[in-house]
Amino acid sequence: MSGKRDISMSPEEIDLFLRGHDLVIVAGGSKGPVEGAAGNLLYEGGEVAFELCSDDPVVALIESDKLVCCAVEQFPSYYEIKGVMLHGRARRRPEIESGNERFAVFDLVIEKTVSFDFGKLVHEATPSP
Amino acid sequence: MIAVPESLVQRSTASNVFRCTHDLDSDEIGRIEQESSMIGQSVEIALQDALDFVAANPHVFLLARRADGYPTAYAMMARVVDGAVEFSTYRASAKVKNLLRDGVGGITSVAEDRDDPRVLVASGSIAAAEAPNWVDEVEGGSANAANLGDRPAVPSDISDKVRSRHDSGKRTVLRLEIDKARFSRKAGRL
Repeated sequence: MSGKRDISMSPEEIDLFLRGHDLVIVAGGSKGPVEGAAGNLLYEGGEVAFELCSDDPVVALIESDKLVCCAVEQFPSYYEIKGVMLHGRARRRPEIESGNERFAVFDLVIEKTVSFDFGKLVHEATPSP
Repeated sequence: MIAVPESLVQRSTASNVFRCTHDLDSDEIGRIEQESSMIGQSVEIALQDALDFVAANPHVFLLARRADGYPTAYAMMARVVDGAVEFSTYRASAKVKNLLRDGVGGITSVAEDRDDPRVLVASGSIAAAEAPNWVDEVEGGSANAANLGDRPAVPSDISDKVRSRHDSGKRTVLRLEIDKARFSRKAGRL
């Protein structure tokens, strides 16, 4: 075997993975250090959106240049580590109010997707019968 | 040490903010809601609080900017050493190039306890450091290394490979010196 192993997920695997998760780390900011926030992932029919607390400083960063990275990951054990990073531009939706809280909601226009599934390290290392 | 009012540090770290509200009277619930609101406003915290949080929650997202201007996030295992946050990674990786280009980086860490709404957001200067014994210090728990929390156990063959890559110089250590930190909270409507 030569070169790096491909442990990326297929589009179907990414779809299944995103449907099973609701926590997303959203990174934004075009000047100075990039900042992050933990938001709700809203995924339906292949479309990605996310919501953040409306008073989170990252909301203003995203609104200034629209560029974001959304990262979703799981790590129950080493070979069950999986993740998807979605890079793209955020489009603001009307704010949502729930109880005493207000949430900024953004649609994500995806421009690049990166994924990894450490389980594929095991599968590739296991000889076929 | 990051200069912040002591009152804010207390608010940001008060564990009773998150305790069950069943046995509390209305005044206490009101106070907790007010403190929770302060956290929502991203209260700045002391450096040691940030480092303690990373030590307890070492699975972090390391944040950088790509050459094309897009922010990006790398899921990483961190360790706290001598007042800074360290990561092991391939010297030729995109993350090293992206972080060293700007000389600054950020981290975001969500508490592993799902009942803890705190989210650490920190940033500072970043530089490559040589640490040939990095893996052994992590596994052996050197005096300087912090508690590693509930990170997934790394298989021994993977540890051996990482150790070998550090020895050969293929891997390096990125060291983040935090100069700004705050607690935010997860956006949750559940």
